[in-house]
Amino acid sequence: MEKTPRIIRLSGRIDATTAPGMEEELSSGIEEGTRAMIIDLEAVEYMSSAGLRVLLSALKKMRSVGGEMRLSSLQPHVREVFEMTGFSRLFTICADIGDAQSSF
Amino acid sequence: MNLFGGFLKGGEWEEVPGLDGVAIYSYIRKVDIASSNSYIVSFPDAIVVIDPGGLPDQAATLLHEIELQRIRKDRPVLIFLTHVHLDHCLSLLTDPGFRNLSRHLVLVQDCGACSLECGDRKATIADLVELEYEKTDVDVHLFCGHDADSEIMVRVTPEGEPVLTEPNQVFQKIIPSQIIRLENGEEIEVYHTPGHSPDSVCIRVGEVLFCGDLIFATAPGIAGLTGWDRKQLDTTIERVLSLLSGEEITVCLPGHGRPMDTESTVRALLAIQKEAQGLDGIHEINPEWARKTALFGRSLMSEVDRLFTIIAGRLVYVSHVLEELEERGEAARMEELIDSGLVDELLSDFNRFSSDLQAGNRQEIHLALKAGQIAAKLNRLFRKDLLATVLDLSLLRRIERHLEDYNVTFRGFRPLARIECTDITISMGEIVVNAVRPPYHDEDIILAPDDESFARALALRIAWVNLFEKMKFEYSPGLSLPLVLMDNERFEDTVMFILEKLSVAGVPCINISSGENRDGVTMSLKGVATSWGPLDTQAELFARNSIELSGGRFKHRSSGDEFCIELTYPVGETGSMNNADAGEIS
Repeated sequence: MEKTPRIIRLSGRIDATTAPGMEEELSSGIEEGTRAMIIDLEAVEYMSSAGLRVLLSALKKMRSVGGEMRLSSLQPHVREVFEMTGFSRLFTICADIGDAQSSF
Repeated sequence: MNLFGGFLKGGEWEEVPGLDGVAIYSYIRKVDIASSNSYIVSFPDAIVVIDPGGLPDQAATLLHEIELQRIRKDRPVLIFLTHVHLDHCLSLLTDPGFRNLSRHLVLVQDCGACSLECGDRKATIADLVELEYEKTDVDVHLFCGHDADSEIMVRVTPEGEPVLTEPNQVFQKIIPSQIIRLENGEEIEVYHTPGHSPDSVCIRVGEVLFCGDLIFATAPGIAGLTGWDRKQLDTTIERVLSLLSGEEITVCLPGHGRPMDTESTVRALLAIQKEAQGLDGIHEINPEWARKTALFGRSLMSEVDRLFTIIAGRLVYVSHVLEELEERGEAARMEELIDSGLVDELLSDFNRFSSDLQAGNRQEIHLALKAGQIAAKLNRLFRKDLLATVLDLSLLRRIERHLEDYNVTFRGFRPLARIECTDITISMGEIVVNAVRPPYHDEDIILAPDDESFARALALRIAWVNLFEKMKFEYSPGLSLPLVLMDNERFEDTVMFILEKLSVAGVPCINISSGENRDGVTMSLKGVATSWGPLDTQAELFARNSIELSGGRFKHRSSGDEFCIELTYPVGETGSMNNADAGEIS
């Protein structure tokens, strides 16, 4: 089981087309034993509700196995989506990777 | 007879209803503006092509079928155009196979023929779809001068060349028509049916009527094209309805989409006739319209995308929290309030299209049409009544308005604004109060009479997100200000949009004040921006357009970190007006 957080870097648009690939990546990370995960969203320019669903699903999986997850480096558009949907209340959101790493 | 559900099937040779020994090959496409349907009719003495369309693959298929027919029996080819819009004839004008086709005649209504011969880019919509073609001679100008209600005979020389007789006058019919008679007596009747365009014709072969774009004449983005004429369209529809009321025609083959029986064509024409009555004064669909509409569409769709993401995301959030609280029934209801997967797909589709345009692979008219399609589909998915049971009405009202605005703009009109004399200071005061007021009462949960009411009250409570928790409002309304002319709902919606943007950009405090000046009354929103800046380019464009639609002017000034957004409205007397004087969309 991993102790240092695993960093998963996502990029581009996360929407109906790309969300399934992201779900697979996050799920396999958890199934492989990751219990501390940082999802770096610095290069994510857009996130639709499909992306939010995948992140929530990963958060639930992580919590069900006693793990922890952090989101880091949200760009303005993505931050806005998190703020306006209420998702910012569900996730621990860190300013950057360094903050996220030191939060574990 | 090889019929499918009573109609021609397409993609193979089938007998023409009402004519023995005459076969038809229908090339039927999905409805778009890239290319029309095409039809080949194989008579014993000639091969008739109706609308070669606009795509190379389609042209190759048609030419292959023509070649096979000629191998069976060599005959001349007569090419008719239902009108000269490029989606119906680009292949004829540019495809080497069609340009080098041996022993063929091109027959086009006179003014359409003249447009092809002089390279009129407006008449062919080449200017709109940004396509090039060479000037092309037309062999037969149909309905030229006094040739209506006449008959032309096509004979074939021993060398196989088609030759024509002079038109002979015949008795007058319901619709101005010309008959093209082949040597063995078979006839092709062409009716002049202007309205969609001045050169539009319908063509009858046996019991089949090829009706071109008549049934699309009122479609958004189509109605208003150069040469579109509502009065002529009305007359044409009356005449075609009379024609269809006889029993001679059983199948109508449109320029786009599936074949139709007479009954459904009559229904469609009656609906078009009714719709056309409301289209007087429609904007001309030209490249400038396409540019503005595409720009407006992109800006609106970006905001619609944001709002739908917020709605769908908030429902996912509420559903999740309810599940955690073991309110599974209500949690499931949240998921069913909107098909967020489909919404996502539609918005992704639009984004791809928009990226294609930026990459130079699409024209603005395509984006304008695509936005129209997507907006119509989103409108069907959007159930405001259901969503209002849990979500913020301001969000829902904005989505509804944006979709409607695009629909109206796409339709060729200006979005409706209700410009009325309004006390802008009261209006702004209500916005500030409502922005932080929860849409529920604490007692709703306590007094819930049953489990279902409790769950609904709980959902409403969870769904409310106070976006202004971290932003302080300071409002100093000016005293004794005159009333202004504005659309209050549009003003409220746009101010909410601006405030949301400022809040999520991390602006800690917003100072709102109002005062009178020579331009009217100005509402100023001042604050200190974070590193992101208060509004990005897209958001500023959207806010500017929205304020202009509400009857005002938008100004954004920055000095160092400080910014000031000014919304100015003209002073009004009393009463109200429509939006004829509201600002243009920029």
